[in-house]
Amino acid sequence: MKLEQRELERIVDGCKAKNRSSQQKIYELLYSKMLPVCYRYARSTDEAKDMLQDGFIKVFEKIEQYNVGGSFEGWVRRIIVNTAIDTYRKNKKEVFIDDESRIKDNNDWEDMESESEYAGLSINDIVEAMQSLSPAYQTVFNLYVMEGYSHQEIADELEINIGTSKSNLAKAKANMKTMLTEKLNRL
Amino acid sequence: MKNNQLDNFESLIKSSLDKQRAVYDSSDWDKLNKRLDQVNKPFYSSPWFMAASVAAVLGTVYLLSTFNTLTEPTPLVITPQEYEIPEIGEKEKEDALAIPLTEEEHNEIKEVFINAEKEINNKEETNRKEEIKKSNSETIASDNKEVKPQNSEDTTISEENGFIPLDDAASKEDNLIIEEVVTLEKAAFHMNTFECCEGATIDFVAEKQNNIDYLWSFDDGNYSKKENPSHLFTSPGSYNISLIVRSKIDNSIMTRSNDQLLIVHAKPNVQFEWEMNEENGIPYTSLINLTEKGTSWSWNFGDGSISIDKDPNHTYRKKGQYLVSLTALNSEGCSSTINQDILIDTDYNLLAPNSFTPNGDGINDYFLPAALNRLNGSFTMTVYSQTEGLIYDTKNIDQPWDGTNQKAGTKCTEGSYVWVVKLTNEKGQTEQYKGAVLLLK
Repeated sequence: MKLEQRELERIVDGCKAKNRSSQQKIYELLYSKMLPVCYRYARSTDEAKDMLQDGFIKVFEKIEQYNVGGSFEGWVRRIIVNTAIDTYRKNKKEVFIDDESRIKDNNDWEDMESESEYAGLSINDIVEAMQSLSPAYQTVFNLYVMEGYSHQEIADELEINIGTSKSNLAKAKANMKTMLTEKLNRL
Repeated sequence: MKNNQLDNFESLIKSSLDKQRAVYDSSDWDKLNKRLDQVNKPFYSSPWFMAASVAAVLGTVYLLSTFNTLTEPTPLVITPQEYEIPEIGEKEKEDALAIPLTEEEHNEIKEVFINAEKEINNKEETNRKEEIKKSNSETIASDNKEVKPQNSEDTTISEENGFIPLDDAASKEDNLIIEEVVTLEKAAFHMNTFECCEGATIDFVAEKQNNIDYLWSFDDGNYSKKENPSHLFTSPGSYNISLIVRSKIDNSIMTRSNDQLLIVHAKPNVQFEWEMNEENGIPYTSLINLTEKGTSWSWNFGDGSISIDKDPNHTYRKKGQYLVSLTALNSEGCSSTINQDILIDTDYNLLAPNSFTPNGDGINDYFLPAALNRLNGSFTMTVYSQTEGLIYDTKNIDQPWDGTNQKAGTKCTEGSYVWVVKLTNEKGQTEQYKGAVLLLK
């Protein structure tokens, strides 16, 4: 859904004036991309939708701070991701696993990865696998792989050690590989 | 935030997930819309109120008050006996909010509105006559008003609305009207938007006053007696929302309607058909978009893939029933979605055979999915054995798998092997297929 920059600015101005139909337009435009972002941090569709709602409430509250010129979608996405991090912090009951012990990689597939790239897996399979990771693994994996946060930034955001962030990423990957391999074998 | 160096696995996950799109569900907006109402409470931050409060300040100056975005409330007197609303207790009243109006109530409110309209017309008539009569004293009257400190815009409004100032040479009857109006402070309300899509529920909030009944007309033949009603607008159009407040003490009424009409936009009439097609033996489903006046599209084929083309073609890998949804958005920003089940009766896996016999008899000595011969694009086929992993790869239709282990240079034994084909389709997207083939001798 491409919009002309001028049209976007008009809608953003509407949002700044708290115009409800402008807010609705922004929501409709970004929904299809932002809900999947939430899926990755959530445990279920319902949780993802709640996250999206919280995120958009913040978007509308903070829209004054958006400067025309920067990518609007990128700006909204950062707010959505921050909302996801907040949700994670709020629900945090589990302790990040803080050991550096080596994860035994699933070597059988290592060769095939570059060749076949888990052929036949759908996006839904991957999202499902991600949603069944523990919240700590899921959050670290997302921030590192999907959002490009460095381990230092992740450590700061989640208030953990850099080492913990690294080992959580490795374990998240190992678990994902195992789950995806199982899915593939059932194919 | 710079991008991290991702390994193969990480890039694979990222590139897949970056493509993910969700199909728009308008009920999610409805929920957010409700929450935004709560967030915005007190509703004084709504554009309407801003305009009204600016107007209230200006309203203290008699002449400037014409900037008010609302039509002024018209105080009226209705003979008490005619429109008796049955008294209801506090608790019952709450219950009444939840149930729809009975036909009797509906007619009663309707009658109030019709009579109010008549009264307004009469009043305007009278005012015009009086304006001529009192044209001389007008200047003095408005001067008085500017000096007088104003407590509320509504007081100003009722005075400027042609009600004869006390010092005017007014008839006895007119004086009576002014006294009765005093029991009603104002008829004012807020709404959360002036623009919406059909099927939207709009919330209305009346300014609270004691001892009054609220009577709303939504201009679509529906009325409400709630203080803060929500109303579902089911057809596109422009609606002139009006509110009558009626004193429970003397049944005098005031009415107000918005200058700015509520605009209800039409949703796109979303529709599609589908048909099965075949090209070079390769099946595909053509989705034919019959939506009128849509500007953007979002298809979900029900198998995890999506498209934003208007009339996409799609090949399903597995036979079965798929729930296909199409969401259309029009230039007014209204969207609607339709879901249809479509039935796919054949599997498609590049038309690959289940088995082959590489025994040199000239029949079925080679394995290659048949579709690769017809697609005419670049591809990579890899073959894996359960024990040895990758054993064969080819990018050339002239080099189909001959049943050998490329790495070891040996002939493979009988058994099941996994093949994976990666190809680039005509849209430039990468597709991957996977299957098992039985090697027999």
